[in-house]
Amino acid sequence: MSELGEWLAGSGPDSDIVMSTRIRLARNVIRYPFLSRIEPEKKSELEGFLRRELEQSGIGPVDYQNLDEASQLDRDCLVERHLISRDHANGRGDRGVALEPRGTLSVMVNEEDHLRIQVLRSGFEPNAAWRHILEVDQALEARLDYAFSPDYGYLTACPSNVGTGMRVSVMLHLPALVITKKLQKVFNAVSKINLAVRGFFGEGTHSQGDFYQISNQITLGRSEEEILTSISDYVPSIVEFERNMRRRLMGENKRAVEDRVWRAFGLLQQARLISSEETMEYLSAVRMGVNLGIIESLTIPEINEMFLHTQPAHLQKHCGRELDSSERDASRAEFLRDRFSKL
Amino acid sequence: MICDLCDKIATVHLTEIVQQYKKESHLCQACADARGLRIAKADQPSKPFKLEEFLAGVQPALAAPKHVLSLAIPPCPECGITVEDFQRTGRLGCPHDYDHMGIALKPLLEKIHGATHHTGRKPDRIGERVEHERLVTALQRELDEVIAREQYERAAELRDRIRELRGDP
Repeated sequence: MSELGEWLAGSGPDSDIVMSTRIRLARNVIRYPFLSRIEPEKKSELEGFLRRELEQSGIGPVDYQNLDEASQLDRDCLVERHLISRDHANGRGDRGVALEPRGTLSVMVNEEDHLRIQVLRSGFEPNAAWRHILEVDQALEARLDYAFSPDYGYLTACPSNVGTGMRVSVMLHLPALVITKKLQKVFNAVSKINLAVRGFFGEGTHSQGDFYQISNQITLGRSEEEILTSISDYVPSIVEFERNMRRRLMGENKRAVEDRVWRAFGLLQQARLISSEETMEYLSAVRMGVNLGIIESLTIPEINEMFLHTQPAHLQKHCGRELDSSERDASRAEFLRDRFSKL
Repeated sequence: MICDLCDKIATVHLTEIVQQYKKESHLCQACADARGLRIAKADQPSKPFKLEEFLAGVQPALAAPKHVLSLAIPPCPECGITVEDFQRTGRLGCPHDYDHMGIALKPLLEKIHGATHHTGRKPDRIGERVEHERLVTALQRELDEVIAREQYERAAELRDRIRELRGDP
């Protein structure tokens, strides 16, 4: 669990603003009902069957974990690494995940659909992510009888995923659009072209750490290429908008931007108790500061790592025991102090 | 009395109201089970017969007249899900439901996706078994239709063909 997923490497195109690109495909096999109607014995049988197929499919070395046997803490860590969904972590019965060591591929078994294949890349890489996931999907469909209909495409438990079963999500770091209150403009424009925006951490439109995820809503009646194009056409304009706002902030009041960044740096370096929300807010400012050249002693991968390791499950894993909320605030502050003292 | 679908003794006697017309069917237990008709059996005396449950199981629309769509859609023969189940949970029960509930799903798909037809990639290999399953589903749907139209000779042919494809004795 100690290794950082490759997608957090802070590399790849536009990685100052695009944290990651993710594609997932929802797939089901014939002869088994969807998960909401499956009996526990049949569910176990399906898990065993899919596990064997995944291990023998040649999609690369995969480490398979049965999540029913895993501890809650280990499951939560996988959620924080975006390798499994919150629902999958908190689900019941025989279910699992196949993970590739680099952390770029994960295949959830018995989530809402029989298979949820996911590829994660650092930076803005929709085409590379697509090539990778297509390879995995083709290797699996050579062995498995996917539930597919010429009319409706790949059949999924929820009709909102039917067709391609494909969701492309791009995670963007947009602090300048938040500061300049331009985000609503982006939301409005995006919804007109059937893409959705939501806060990446936290609930609703308010996002902790100024991270926002843009994804396609439509999966039926558009080809995979059309879905990729809609994302590829639109994301660069948001990236450019964020960059312009950063330039404007620096041009209009450089001192205020520097003040914001260094105050955040100071708090992270000195706090004795710090909540997850505060940490996200200050790390976001520091991340922007690094990208603007205000802070030179930190790198983006180091900040990305701090985002991950200050999350509740990772903190507890780091300490080797369960921590209540106030213990976590102390332990988080200690972790950050340690990192910042080395700078 | 002999079963409408085979030559066994009919033990299930069903009166349905389909689009204002009364329709009587007489089925043996095996054929009734195959059609997903679940009625409190004599060997389950602890469970008293309830008219609402009977109606809800056999013809959901009669128990819930507001859902006009379900009038034409019996529970899925594969997974047993009803249109009401789907409306309640938002999740389908099995891959067959897309064909089985197509008439109810299309307006929803149109609303979510602005489309009702897949235009993306197809599996490189559509397995023989996938085709086989689709054929069985299509025959099952036809069987339901001919039973509703009381074309029992055709129904018997279809039933035999389905049994043969499923490898049932």
